[in-house]
Amino acid sequence: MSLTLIAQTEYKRRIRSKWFILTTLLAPVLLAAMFVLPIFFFVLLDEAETTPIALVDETGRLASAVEESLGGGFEVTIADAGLPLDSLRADLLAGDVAAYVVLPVGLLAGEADAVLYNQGGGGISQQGDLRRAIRDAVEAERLRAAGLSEEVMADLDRGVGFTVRTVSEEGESADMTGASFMVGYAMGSFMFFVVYFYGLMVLRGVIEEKANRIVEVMASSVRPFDLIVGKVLGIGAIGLTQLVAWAVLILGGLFALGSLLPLFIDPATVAAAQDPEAAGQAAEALPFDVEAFGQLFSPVLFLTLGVYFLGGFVLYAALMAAVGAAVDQESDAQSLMVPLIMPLVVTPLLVLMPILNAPNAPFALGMSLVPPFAPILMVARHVVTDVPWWQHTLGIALLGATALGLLWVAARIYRTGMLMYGKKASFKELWQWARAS
Amino acid sequence: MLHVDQVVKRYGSFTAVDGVSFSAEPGRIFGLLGPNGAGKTSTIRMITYITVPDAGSVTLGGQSVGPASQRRMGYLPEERGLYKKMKVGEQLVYLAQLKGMRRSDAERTCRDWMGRLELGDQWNAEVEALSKGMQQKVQFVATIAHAPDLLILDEPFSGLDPINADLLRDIIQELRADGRIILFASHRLEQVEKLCDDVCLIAQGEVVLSGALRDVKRRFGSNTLTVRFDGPDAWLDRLQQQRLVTVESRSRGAAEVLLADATPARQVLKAALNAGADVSHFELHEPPLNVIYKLAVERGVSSDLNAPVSL
Repeated sequence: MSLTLIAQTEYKRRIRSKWFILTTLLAPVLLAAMFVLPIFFFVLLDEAETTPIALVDETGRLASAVEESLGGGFEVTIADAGLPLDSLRADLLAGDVAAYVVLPVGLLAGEADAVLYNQGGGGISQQGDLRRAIRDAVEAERLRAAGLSEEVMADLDRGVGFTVRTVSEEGESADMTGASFMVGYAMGSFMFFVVYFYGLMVLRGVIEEKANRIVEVMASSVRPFDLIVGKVLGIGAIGLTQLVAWAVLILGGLFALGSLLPLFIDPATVAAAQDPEAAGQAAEALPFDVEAFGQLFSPVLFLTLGVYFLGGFVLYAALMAAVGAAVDQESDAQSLMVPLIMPLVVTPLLVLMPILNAPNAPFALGMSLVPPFAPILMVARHVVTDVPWWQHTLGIALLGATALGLLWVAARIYRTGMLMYGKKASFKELWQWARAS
Repeated sequence: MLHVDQVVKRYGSFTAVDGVSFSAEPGRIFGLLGPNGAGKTSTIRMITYITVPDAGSVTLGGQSVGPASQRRMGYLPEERGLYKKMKVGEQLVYLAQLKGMRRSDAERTCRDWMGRLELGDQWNAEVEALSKGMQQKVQFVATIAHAPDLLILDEPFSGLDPINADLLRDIIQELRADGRIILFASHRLEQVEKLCDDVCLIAQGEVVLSGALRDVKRRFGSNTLTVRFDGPDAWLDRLQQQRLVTVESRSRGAAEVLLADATPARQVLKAALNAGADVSHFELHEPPLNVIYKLAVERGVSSDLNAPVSL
């Protein structure tokens, strides 16, 4: 009765606050900005600009083939082979051309390199495009010199397709390795933030009540256990509310995006924007597509997120409550949090990369089953691989049991600590408080 | 009836409360006095069931204190205990609900009390926007809204101007007339003297004085003298040097002195008149509470609470 009333009141008095409304609305906007803006910038830049380059063809047989192969992205000036390179250098320094390329006589025989001169920068994709265009032109010329017929050359030119499909019980789908790695990393880090942030809210709440001495009024009405558990439940409910709000906003946004994006964006450009190296090989297979993102941000992901958030939040909230009960003000909390809580939240972030690379390795499984790591690592694994149900069950059971156990210990520490003022308690004292009858 | 019986509270090796006993009756105001760190707050926490005694017992209406008795008591702590960012009305209703009131009852009663304490238009104000005195009144409403049998008021007048202090005192006296048990803890002894029917003085975790205020004062005899006069006052210093009196307080033209055991009051009057002072007021009476308090705390008094005490 008191417990639900306390939880309700905690929920009500926090959910109306400015920060809640602000973070709920801003986070999806930021997320969208992180993913979408680079794509749009890439597209805009790509369409707006053509790069002026000069081409010096000393072989006399490559220039037109290179120009044709480069396509619309470049504005090619074929310079007279007799022109002194100094004047080209001057053009480059004056900014009239972004680069100039010299194709020496020995290039065809493989005795000399084609050389690209620029002022630095220019991007990997520009270099990749040039390299590929020159390679194609040289190879074609060599084949022609070897006496290959035009027909055989056309045959060679035909593309070699390569598609990756992921097979599972439910059927097969487009490969999502690239997208899932990114989303996995993002989700793992996201879990770190929400669990830690909401845990901190419990810490602040406990210290606020202590500093305001309201805890004395409350303790003369209800059991400390109700007080701390009610607070944890109320704040946890706010966290879940925020997750649901985010899920709705993100899924809704993706749905809108999914139906709008293909109308004016070429998937190849999208892929190129995500991975600069892939841009050089735009003709090759895409590492993933926009739809893959839509599939990753599925309702199942949000459900998994919700369950692990709840477990992780209660676990960290319990630790934070114990720390809050031991100090008078927030600045004092640091010295207890650093040894107690930081290793627990930082470790999974450190192993996140290797685990995403080998999500089914024993190391990944072992680490993701450790209760304080599970909220971050299980969610990340869930994104990149098909986590078997028994692993989820075991992970959630361990996490839940540990969280509830810690909450019980924290409530006992809180019972004594909430009335202690003046000095910061040591770990030894916290332990004594927990054991006191 | 509130019975505190031989309660002991230890914090580690430190004994904060060491065998304290007293009883507070309905319809009377019981003053709990003592210097800082004497064990008052520790005692109050055991009564409010915030902590549990290591030995002894606390009963309210014959039952050991516990979650049930918590609902029948209201505690106003010395320092403000309110959520700063919460609205006044919401907060009062919440605190009353925690005491077991139904929401609708809580709202009606709290609104009534807010009106009575001239806070009617502050219902939707945030607590932190209120003045210290207003916050104190809100805290008072939170303490009494659920009509508790036992009221524990720790420095209830702090931060209040004289008009509001009178308003609060009127309400406290009404509650006394209504048969509530009122535990009043304060360092402002002139207020205790005006308000309390019974007092209990705790020092270093033990009861040093206890009983009806009138009886306690009677133990100390009528040997305090208040003199008002015009003219010189060097005679006072001479009397003090001869150890015939102890000057408790003096100001220009007024003094409160304790007579030494063998000093008759008229000797003081004679000294004043001989010195040429023009005496306008001369009264022999019981010592004020602050004198008794200092004496009991600093020098200690007989452990027999009924034995007379010489000053």
